[in-house]
Amino acid sequence: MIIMQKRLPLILMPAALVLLYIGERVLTETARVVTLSAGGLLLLAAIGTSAMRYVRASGDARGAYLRILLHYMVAAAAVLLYFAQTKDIALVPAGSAQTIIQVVWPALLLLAIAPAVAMERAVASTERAGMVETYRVVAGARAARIVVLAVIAFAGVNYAANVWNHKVDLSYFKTTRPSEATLGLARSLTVPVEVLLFYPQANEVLDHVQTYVDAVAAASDRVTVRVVDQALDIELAKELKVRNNGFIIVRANGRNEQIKTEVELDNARNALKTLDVDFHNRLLKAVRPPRLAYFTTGHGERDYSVQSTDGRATLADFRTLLESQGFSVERLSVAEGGAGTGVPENATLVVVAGPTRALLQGELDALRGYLERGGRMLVMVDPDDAAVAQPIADMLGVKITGVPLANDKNLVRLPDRGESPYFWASNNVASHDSVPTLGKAFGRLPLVFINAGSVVKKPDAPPALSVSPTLRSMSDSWEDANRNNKLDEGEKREPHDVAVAIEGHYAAAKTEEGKTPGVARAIVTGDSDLAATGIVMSLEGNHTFFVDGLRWLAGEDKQVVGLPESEKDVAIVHRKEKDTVWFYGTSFLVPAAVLGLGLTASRRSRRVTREMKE
Amino acid sequence: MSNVWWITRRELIHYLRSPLGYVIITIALVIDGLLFNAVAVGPSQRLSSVVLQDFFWCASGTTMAASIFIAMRLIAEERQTGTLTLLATSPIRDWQIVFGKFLGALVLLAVMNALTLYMPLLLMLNGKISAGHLVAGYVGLMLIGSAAVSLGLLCSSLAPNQLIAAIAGTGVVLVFILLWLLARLTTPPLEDVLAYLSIHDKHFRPFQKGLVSVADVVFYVSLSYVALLAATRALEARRWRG
Repeated sequence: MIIMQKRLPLILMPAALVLLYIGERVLTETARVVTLSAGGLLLLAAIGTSAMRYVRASGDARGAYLRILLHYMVAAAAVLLYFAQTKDIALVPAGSAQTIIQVVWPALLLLAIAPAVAMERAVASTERAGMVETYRVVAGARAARIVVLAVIAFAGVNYAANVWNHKVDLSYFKTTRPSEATLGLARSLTVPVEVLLFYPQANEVLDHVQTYVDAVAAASDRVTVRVVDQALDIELAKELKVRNNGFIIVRANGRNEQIKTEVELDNARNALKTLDVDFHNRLLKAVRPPRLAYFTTGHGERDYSVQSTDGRATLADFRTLLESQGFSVERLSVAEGGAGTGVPENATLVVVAGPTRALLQGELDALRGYLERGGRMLVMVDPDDAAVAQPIADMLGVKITGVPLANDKNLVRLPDRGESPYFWASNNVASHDSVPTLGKAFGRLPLVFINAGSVVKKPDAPPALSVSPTLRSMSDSWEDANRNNKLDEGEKREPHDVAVAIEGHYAAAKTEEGKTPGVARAIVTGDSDLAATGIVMSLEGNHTFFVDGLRWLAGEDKQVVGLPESEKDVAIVHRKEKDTVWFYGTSFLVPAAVLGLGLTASRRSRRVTREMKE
Repeated sequence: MSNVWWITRRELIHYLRSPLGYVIITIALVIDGLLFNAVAVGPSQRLSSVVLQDFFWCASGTTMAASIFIAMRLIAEERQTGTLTLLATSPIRDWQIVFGKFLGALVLLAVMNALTLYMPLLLMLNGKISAGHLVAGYVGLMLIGSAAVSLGLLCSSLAPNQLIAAIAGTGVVLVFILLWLLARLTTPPLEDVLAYLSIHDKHFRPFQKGLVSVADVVFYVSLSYVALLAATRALEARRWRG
């Protein structure tokens, strides 16, 4: 009972602090007043009982209890300080004095309570023996005080670190350098190009941009570079519709192409990562004559509008790709008297993307007439629609087999569609002018195919046409004639051509005006998903195939070689074989090797120790 | 300083000459590998930097868990087996014991984290990731591991045996992780204080993204220091607590 009485302050003080906290921070109105009053009374009781304990004690115990009493009184003072600066009492005016008190009271409370608790424990540990050892009490208080001071220092150091904080961004960031494609384009320029950099002087982003543009200018006498501050040359800025700094303007042929980068490096990082791609595309747009790609419609083709009407992925991304290569796009509709009345003279390219219904004879004749004029076509056909598209294929000297190709070794997992032997990747690329970048990538840029079929040269193809395979499936794929997803007897694993490039003269004779007709070119693929949204812009292999292919179709394959460089992040492509190696390698193989080596090393070490002892 | 080195070496020998260290590292690597495939790489196509961020997020969990298991025995085992008295009567100061043991645990943690390097390297080969991002992530892992080891060591110095040290260590680290949740339930300025003390949510995420900030480094270092100081005082308490 006596010991219990002696412990009473240690029970009353924390109880008082908890009640005061609840009353002040949790409760409102009457409950708050009652709780705060109870807390205050308990605080007084803790100090009172502590004082009584001191008065009754003698010898070393008296000194120890005095120390504890003083600490409790300091704790009570800290509580009073807190209430003095609250809005309710407002004894301290708002301002620096209030701020100082807000820092001082919790520090004071901790410096009082923690040592008091430590001293109570030190006293309790020896009290049963009937004596109190002062050095234990002092040591306990000192230990607690040091920890509290460390906590206070922790708060101070962290506050200062946040005030004077400095951040370093080490994530992937590299301003693209001019690629060989951009430098080649600059070297082939026939018109003067002015590059205006709208940035303030001594700007971090300007440093990155100017390094890049100067390297392009060094490759060509026709490129000139000028730095302009938008705030200082308002007239020019207004003429070019530049409202702020942080813009690159490419001027040529009276056209102005704009690239936005921002002026703060943190905000400009993404733009700088893709600077070469953007600059390359803007330069192309500025210096090239306008180019037009017509998409045939009216036969269930895939469309480039964002909304899909037939449940298949659209070609919206492919449209973006075409536009990035300087093409405008338009539809060639039967209803509007399009293909049936002839392909317009301004067509640079005609795209037939995944038709599900046959073209009329008049339309076929129109396309043939276009090819005879040296026209360029991109034909993408899925195996399910091989029959309806075969008349077009016949015209191009190829046969679309209509049998889906399957592959269970290189299958890919597609978002929302999962895995299937009909979804596979291939890096099997032939050597041809329409796939120069893929050919030089040595298999590093696989293409993803979805329900693809093979395309082969017809034996009776016109001899004037050269039909060259450009893409093949991997050697472990097979033609799944019965469409059961399995390799059956009679089905053979072998590579199949899935894209071909066709080139040649359709009209041997000269035209009525006496001109020699141009060389017709076409690319035929056995899969229209190759260019689908979600594939063509996100998979580097598919993207590269079309960029190279469009250049070849437009007859620019000799002028611009390679792709502009992008430092933009790339997606990790899932392929079954790779995923399996990653899974077993990372989850089990390496840990097992570590465990095996570790256990061997520890056993050997123990044996050596044992032998030395013996 | 030689005493600190002696203690560090003793701890490392203890881990590496017995299967314990290898078993802890292997379990951590298996969990890291599974999480890398299931969570970071995931079933859908993701950008390499996002995969790397998620890898560090997962690895921070295994690092903290491993830290608690490594730290639980540091002092509590000595107390349990009675060797603490021998250590205490040797000419080594308490802070040297605590700091030496802390360094030993940290080196083991560094070895464990270094052995996970092949996973981000796989991403580096297949994506666009900077070496700086890797460095930032691993610095973050070591800092959060150091904070968790220090808190675990504090619990180990207070607990009578390893089991209680492990339970207490898990509880304390969990509280420090979940302080951001608690912060949502409180009002300023306590809300800011609790959110700031959250060892993962506020301070680790920047490292995940490749951002190194002085304030975050200072937080982890100072938290480790306070916990180690408290552990030293707790070890010292046997002199006055009786």
